[in-house]
Amino acid sequence: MNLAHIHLLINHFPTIGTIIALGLFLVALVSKSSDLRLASLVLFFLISLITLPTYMSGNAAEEMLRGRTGVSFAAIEAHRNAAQLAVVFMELTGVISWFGLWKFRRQSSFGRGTLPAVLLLSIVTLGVVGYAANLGGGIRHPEIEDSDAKKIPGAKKVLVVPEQRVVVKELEVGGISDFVTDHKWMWPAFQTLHLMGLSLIMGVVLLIDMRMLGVAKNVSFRAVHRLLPWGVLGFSVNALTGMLFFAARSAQYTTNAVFQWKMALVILAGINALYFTMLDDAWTLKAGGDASLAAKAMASLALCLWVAILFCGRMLPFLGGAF
Amino acid sequence: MDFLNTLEHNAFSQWVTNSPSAWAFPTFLFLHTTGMSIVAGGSAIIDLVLLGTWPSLPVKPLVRLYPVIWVGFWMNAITGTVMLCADATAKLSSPDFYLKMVFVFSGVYVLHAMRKTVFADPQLDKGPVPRSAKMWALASLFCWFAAITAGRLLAYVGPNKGAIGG
Amino acid sequence: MPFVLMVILTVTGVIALVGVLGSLIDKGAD
Repeated sequence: MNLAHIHLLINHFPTIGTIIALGLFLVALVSKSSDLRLASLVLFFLISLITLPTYMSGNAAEEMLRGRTGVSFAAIEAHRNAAQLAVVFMELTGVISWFGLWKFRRQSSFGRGTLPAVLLLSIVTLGVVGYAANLGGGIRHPEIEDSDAKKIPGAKKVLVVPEQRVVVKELEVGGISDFVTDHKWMWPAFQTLHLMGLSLIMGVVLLIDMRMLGVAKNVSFRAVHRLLPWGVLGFSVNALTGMLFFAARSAQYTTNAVFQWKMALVILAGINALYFTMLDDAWTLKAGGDASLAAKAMASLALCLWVAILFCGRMLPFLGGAF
Repeated sequence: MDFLNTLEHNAFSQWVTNSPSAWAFPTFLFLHTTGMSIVAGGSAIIDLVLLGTWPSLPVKPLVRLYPVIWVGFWMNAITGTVMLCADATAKLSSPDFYLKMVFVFSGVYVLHAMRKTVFADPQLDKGPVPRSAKMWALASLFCWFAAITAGRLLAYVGPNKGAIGG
Repeated sequence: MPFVLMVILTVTGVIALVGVLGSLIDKGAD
């Protein structure tokens, strides 16, 4: 199993997964069931997490296909551009969904604009994802090639003619990659933002750990819970800057084992965050109370995960043969 | 200066800079980044709560973050000094480095001042957060984020730009 | 102990440690 194979496997989550999540969400809206609404928001959130490695494995698949015949690189580029847009909308849907889960925990309501926003965003996401997925089909399906290959919009360079082995040059063409190359201050600026984002995350994790592990018992978890959106803000800043780094210089990330570890850990950390956002175990912890073993374990896990993620990120130039 | 050269060419400093081992420079950098996240993150939480409008979120318990923040600070003082030794001549002739030090120590001073004024106030959590406390919080946020920026730029400006870890 | 003094002592201490470790490495390399 290689990265291209993984891409073909997990791309079903942002596509079929979104269809199912949206379907469930529509049922939830009509039925007015809180449980179904919560379930749909959780689904949207989880799908937004797995969309990240889906995109990245797609990049790896692209790199693997270079120099091959019978592959339309115009289709690949069109697919990738559409996928980038799809990722943006998917992550937005995920963040707003998380916010709905957070709000519901606190007030047993989702907040005034939240569900409409999720509805709108998820529909747009599904549209863009579907468009991207359809373009993806045009890459290496000869049975649909004739009808679709000519209609690929926005493809800037047609680099390969099928049946001819052509040496393909660097495919990070145009857009973000050139922008970063031409504006040398962008990379350090976005790295600085990335560091600020991770500091916010670490601050919130420290606070949660202090409460759960008994150092600052005189506050209820409800009060700590109030600060979770700041952690999610840090996470969002880092997801955004991270996607920029990846889009601009994907070659140094896709096959980098340390980076792959980092992404796997980020997904685990996202799921860990759901525990503190939603579950009763943490929520019911009063001021002065002792946290349950599970809550302590999850809090310790959060700290380990985030330090490990920081480690992987900092080690990217040194381990894994990147840069 | 001769002393700086000696520091840099000291066998330990040479090991830190030149060893391909992940335990050398990369580890010091990693520990330094971790310490940074603790200091900047911890004080950001305190600052955001002071600046935020959440009347039911008590500020007082957050004083427990201070010991953790100091641990982060000392981690960075130690790892920072080691990395400074390894690149002494370049760093000490880089204005960006001095700027970073100004922001770091300003941030420390602000944290200390907040401890003595905001957290020692008997009226804390008994009424709205006073404007002076919010000013301190803003100053703190500014100092740490400026320190992070100056620190990150060290790999890009000054005599040793483009050095490892950039 | 005043903070500034602690910082000065720490920095000096680390530099001294760097020197000691350096000479230990040198000795070990012979």
